[in-house]
Amino acid sequence: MNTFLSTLPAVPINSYIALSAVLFCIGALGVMIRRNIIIMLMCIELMLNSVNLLLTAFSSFKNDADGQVFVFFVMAVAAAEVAVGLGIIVMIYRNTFSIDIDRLSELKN
Amino acid sequence: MSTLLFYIFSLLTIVSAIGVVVSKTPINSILSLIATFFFISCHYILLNAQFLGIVNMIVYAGAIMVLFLFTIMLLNLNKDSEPQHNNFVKVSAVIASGMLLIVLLSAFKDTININHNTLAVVHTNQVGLLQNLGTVLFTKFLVPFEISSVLFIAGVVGAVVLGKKEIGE
Amino acid sequence: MNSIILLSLLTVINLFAGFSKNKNLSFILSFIGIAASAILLGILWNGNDVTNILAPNFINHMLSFDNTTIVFGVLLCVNASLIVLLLHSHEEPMDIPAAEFLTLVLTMLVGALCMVSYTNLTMLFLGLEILSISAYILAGAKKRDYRSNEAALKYYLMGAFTTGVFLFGVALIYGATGSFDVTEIAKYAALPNPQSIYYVGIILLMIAFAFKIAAAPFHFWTPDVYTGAPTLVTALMSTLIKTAAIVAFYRLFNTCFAGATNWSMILMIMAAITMFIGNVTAIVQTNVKRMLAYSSIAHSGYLLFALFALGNNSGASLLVYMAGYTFASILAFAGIIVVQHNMHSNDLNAFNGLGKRNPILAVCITIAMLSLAGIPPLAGFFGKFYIFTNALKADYVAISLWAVLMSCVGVYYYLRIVINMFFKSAEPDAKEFILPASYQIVMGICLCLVVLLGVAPGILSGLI
Repeated sequence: MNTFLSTLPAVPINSYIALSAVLFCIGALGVMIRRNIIIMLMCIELMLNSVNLLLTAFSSFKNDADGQVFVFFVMAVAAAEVAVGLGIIVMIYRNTFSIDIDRLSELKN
Repeated sequence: MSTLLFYIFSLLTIVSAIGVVVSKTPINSILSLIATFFFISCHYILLNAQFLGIVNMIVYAGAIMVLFLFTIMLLNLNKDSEPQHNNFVKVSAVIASGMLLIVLLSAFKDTININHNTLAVVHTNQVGLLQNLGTVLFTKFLVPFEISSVLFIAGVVGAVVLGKKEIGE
Repeated sequence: MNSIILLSLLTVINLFAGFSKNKNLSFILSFIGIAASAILLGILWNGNDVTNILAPNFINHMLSFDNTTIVFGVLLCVNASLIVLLLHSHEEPMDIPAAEFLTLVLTMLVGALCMVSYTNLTMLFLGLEILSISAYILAGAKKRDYRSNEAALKYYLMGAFTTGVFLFGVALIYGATGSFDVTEIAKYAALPNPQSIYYVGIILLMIAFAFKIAAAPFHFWTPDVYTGAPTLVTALMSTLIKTAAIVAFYRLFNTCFAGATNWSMILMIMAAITMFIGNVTAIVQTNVKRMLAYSSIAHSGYLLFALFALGNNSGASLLVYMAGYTFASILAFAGIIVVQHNMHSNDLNAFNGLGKRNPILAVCITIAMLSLAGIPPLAGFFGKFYIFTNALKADYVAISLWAVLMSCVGVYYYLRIVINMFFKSAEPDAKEFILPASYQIVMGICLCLVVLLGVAPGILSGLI
């Protein structure tokens, strides 16, 4: 793999930043326009992944392992967060039999 | 050729990411998201971060997405009954995130012009290899590694107490 | 570090203590553990780090315990132990077992301690997430209560979104500086002409922190979450989480970005809007919990003063302010829990005639409200006094005047509760509330501290 890749010219870092920014904005857009909570959670995962890509790109270009180690922590946190989030969804579903965000507007005055 | 591969993977990533946002049912969203993760893993391999590429598939596509699928199957949520936001909300959301994108991109336009010596580093560096990452993780990042166990305790306790059925329910 | 290790071990032990027949066991364990960790923090005073289990190098790159950290760490421990005491009397029943609740409070404390002592953005991120994940769960602690569910979900979605924004900021700062270490970042920040991604990174971090401390324009989740969550958890959110987040924010700006002054303008505008929205919206609320939520937003505005008017005394003024705010808030929330338990309502009218029925409780709530409003000679006054004096020293005259004006607006809605308690008559069949022993202890401690810090604020401000 190394020999294969080392023959190739690489892409500039700006392209990776742009790609991550686009993915991040798609994720943010998804959180704003969808009302299904599960899909909203997935869009948040997408945002975290764009961050991971950005960190890896920087780490690779700077020849510094810290960024890639940070990605591990992001993955760990994402896993824990999703577990809790799905727990909350199950809890709500038990009470309301729905996961539509707008039915949950009891608190609005 | 690497540039070509980059653009192909980027295109596929963005298309499948849009698929996550626009698909009607949660199952389709999940499948698109798995595709997105796969293409992001391809990017990792292109960046010579091979271990991350594999871990990304194992953790995200293998564990997190299965968790999502389980929830959807258990609660039988895969119905297309999601009421839609009115168009005003949608348009303003699109405008908001479009502006965010423009701001981000314009800020990045004048970034780092890395010369070709640095570019060559990407394909020859060894930072993404397992041995190197492991060394850094267990020396420099030992404390965060240990502290993340507290995070998992919180996550486990949360998932159990919230998901558990109470007596009499 | 030892205190963090102790608390982490205690989270696991506490879960096993839940199996015990003795229901008090997990309370005793948590309380002793928190007290011991406060002591372990205290012995590090002036750098007396005698016992490091791990090789110190690994820790020093990640956590450092200077005097500022230690004082805030002890404040967080006291804060958490007061909440543990309040939980003990079951005045507000939860749907999750006490051992699990306490475990989550302990994990929250671990996260908060990481956030006040980090020297590496990795630790900041992990601390923030440990704190937030525990808070999402606790917000849903009344599982069968629909409003608590909703609060948990809203808090979770906002928090997870914020995590994304925060991480993008961290990634950009890493891209610009090549390190997660705050000293390395500070070195980069001192260079002329930083890259633009660095600035974008700072802005994204600022947005993330504004979400966490509920500063406008990122405050909109706060009223719903604070009202829906169990009152005890609301007390935790508005004291412990706010302290941890503002101190983390302060550390970040004080060490890393002190060189770049571009952001102080943004923070100033944010503070002005936050104070306005918090104070003015609180006036029209009739639900006391919701009113305190807006009041908590307003207090975030005052706290931002310590950040944009950064100076030598910022840490001390932040400490005095946070201590006064924490104890007054816990006092107020304890009072609200008692009223809510007996009247089954958080409405302003539920407080009618409390002055005749329970004069002591009414006096406690009054002192808390007066301190939150900033009436001398209570702790809240000196917090505001220090913060505004610092801002005036740094020539922020207009914003300080605005803040004083907004504080005056604040006096109105804090006094509304007092008026209801003393000058309105209750329903005739109302009977006296019984205060459980743990409430008496906590309210007594908070009352003493609020008055003591008001009479002699120098004992805190002299520390750092």
